[in-house]
Amino acid sequence: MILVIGGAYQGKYNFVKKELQTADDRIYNDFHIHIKYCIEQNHNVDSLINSIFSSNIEVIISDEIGCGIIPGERINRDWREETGRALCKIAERCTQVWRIHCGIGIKIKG
Amino acid sequence: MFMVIIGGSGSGKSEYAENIAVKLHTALKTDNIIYIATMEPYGEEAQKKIERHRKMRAEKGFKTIECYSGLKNLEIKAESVVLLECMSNLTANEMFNRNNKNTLYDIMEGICKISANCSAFIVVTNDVFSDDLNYDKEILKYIKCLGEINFKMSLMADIVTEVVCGIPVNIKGGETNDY
Repeated sequence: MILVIGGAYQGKYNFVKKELQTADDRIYNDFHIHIKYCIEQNHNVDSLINSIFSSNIEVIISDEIGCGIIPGERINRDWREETGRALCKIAERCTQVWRIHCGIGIKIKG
Repeated sequence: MFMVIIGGSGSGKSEYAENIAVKLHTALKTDNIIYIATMEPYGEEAQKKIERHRKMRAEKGFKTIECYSGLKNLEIKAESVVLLECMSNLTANEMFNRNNKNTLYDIMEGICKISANCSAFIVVTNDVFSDDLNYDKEILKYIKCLGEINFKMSLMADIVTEVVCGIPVNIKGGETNDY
């Protein structure tokens, strides 16, 4: 599994298609949005991670949402923290981690 | 040795910083390993966070000193590895809870004093600089002040490392193995 992270609109999806040559149906996009859904629906984040790892997905893409001021609303505070923690767990299990800034990828693991 | 560790929320920066502190404590054979805790224990969320951090470092041998403000008045023994966790809390406490107009200089005075006295000093700080800045004046002042503290600390630091998804990304200086 490969993890690709970065701020919003940094060209993560394009990078995965072009540089990592991954097919659309092997990409799990917007992971951070799915975490928000998990929290709202009271679903277990670890089960989500496990199900992605046991599927045919090859690349997980997520926005980095932890680099701002602590949000005013509880749900957004939880979302931010849960996303960060989940990405740490995923990164540990991945063979490669890429960070995308301005469309340019920097490999930070692997 | 002075090291700054920066990361976003949930980036794994604390765990990384604790492990570095333990490693330095062993390598430098210092008498003490000290944890400066800055989060005020008010409210359920803060308590949970403090509890999580306490559990995480329980077996690592730290002596905890609570310091919610007034860092410059802290006396630290020379033969120590010191970990301060974290600068974003300390800055917020000074500015919002103590109404300290001199936060930047007071905190930097504390940082200089500790880093000059102890064997190794590690400060954990937050990246709060990458969102829309759509905040009122007081919060913007805080963001600016924390930015200036991070900037000044990084100028002084031997090593600056960003932690991303639990992965250390070195942005200034060498490895802690050099110390």
